Amino acid sequence: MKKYSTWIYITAGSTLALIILASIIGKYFFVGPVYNPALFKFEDSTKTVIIGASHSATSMDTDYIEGALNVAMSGEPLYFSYYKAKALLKNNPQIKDVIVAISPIHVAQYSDKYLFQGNAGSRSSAMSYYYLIDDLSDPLINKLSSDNIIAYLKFHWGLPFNYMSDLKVVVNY
Amino acid sequence: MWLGVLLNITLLAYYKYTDFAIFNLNLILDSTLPYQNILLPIGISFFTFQLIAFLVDSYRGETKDYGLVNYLMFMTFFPQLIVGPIVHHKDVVPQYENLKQALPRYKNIARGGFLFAIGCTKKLLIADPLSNWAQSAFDVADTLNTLESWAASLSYTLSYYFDLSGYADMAIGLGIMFGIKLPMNFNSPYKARNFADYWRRWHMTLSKFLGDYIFRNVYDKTKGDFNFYLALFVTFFISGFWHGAGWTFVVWGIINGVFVIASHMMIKAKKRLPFFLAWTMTFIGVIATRVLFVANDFSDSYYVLVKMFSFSDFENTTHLAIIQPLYLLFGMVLVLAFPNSSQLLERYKPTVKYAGITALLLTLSLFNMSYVRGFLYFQF
Repeated sequence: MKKYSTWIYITAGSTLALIILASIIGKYFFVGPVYNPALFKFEDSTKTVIIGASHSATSMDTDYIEGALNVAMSGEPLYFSYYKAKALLKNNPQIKDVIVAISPIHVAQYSDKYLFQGNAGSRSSAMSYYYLIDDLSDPLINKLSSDNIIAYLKFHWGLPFNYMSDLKVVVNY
Repeated sequence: MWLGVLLNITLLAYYKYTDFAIFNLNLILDSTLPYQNILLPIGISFFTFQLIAFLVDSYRGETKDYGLVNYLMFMTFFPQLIVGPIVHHKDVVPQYENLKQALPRYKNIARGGFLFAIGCTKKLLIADPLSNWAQSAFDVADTLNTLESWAASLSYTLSYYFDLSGYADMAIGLGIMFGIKLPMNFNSPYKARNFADYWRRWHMTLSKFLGDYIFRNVYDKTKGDFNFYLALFVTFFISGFWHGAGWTFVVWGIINGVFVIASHMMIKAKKRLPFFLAWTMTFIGVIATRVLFVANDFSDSYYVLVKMFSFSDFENTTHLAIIQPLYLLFGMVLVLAFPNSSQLLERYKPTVKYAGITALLLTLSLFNMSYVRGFLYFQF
């Protein structure tokens, strides 16, 4: 039986070691360089940014707004648009105007409840935007939700959650 | 007994087939009865089967030695409860009797952990990406060209195997950790040379259940070949109906039944095709029938199948991920050239090599653990 107990300890230790190694690589070579709000730098000519969800993404034509850049994403919760705007304004002092199209659904209670729910949609949002949150004491963050725990472990400790999906982003798939 | 069986089937019918019945009523009566959108309890098809088997065998007096605790254990043993393997009480209840076997043992934890790691890898690293690609392609099924149709159908066929067998590996691995030996559920089904062989290797516990409780009740040895084929047909018809509340599933069951009957006819006539030809025909048959499983309706299935077999449209390939062909190749190599999980478990030794492989598989699985997709069989 001793050989089996030794095997279990070696396996558990190796798994832990691999996770720690992957976390270090993830934190310093992947999460850090890729998920970094400081990279949000636009050209000086960009004076107006358009943020928000599909309403903004599809209804604002930057050809008709001088110096505007549309960085809205369909399905983006307004909650995360706020942190996105914060990061953009911090790194781009030349921005004078922020335009956001809001519909009732974006400010309905439903939208807040949708955050950190632990379902596929809220997980997807958390994994895409969590790194933008600069205030983790935000009362809308459900601290004990799996979304928060997984995203925190990934973006603050570098744990290798979701590498497969991230790799698709990196290779532009 | 019949009252108990009826009660179980009524519950299953209510949860699973109410909207299907409404759909058909609306179709026949040209009415607009509203759908109920009833939430399906996870695994109801599986534990209903186990309950029915237990009831029937209790009526036959085969379970009189079982105590209440063993019965409850049988019905609530969590590793296999929701997606199988479908466990027959004779397989496990005698194991509960000897509780010493259920105590944690290093050997069981090591072997179970190794199998669990294989299951995680199948599910998280192979099945999930393939399933994503297949599903997103079938969502726009009527726009796919020949290449995309083949890639989506093969992706789904492979993901389906890795999803189900991955779950079975995890369930069996957990069972081993607890000292309970659960039955094998997959035996390299995509290596099968005909459909009869395929169904002996695919979801073996379901086939055994259907064989024991449907086929044997219809089949009468004294009535000749026609009765044998009729029993097969009825069994596969019910299997299709069990797999999903939709006519596409029923047709899938019927086609599988016809293919299995054809296989038996060829075996009886002692006609044997060369292995490669037989395997190719079988595998293409499996892929083609899986289209009925994943497509939203007959129209999408028809469109995809026509595209697949017309070999005419290769332009504007957009629903094919860059790494999808590599994944498909890798998946095919795994199902055809590698030993299956049970064979790998037999070869397992508590060595550093196996410790490294297990650790690597568990860590790689963690890499893809953020978007947790449900198991494909959760819908059943």
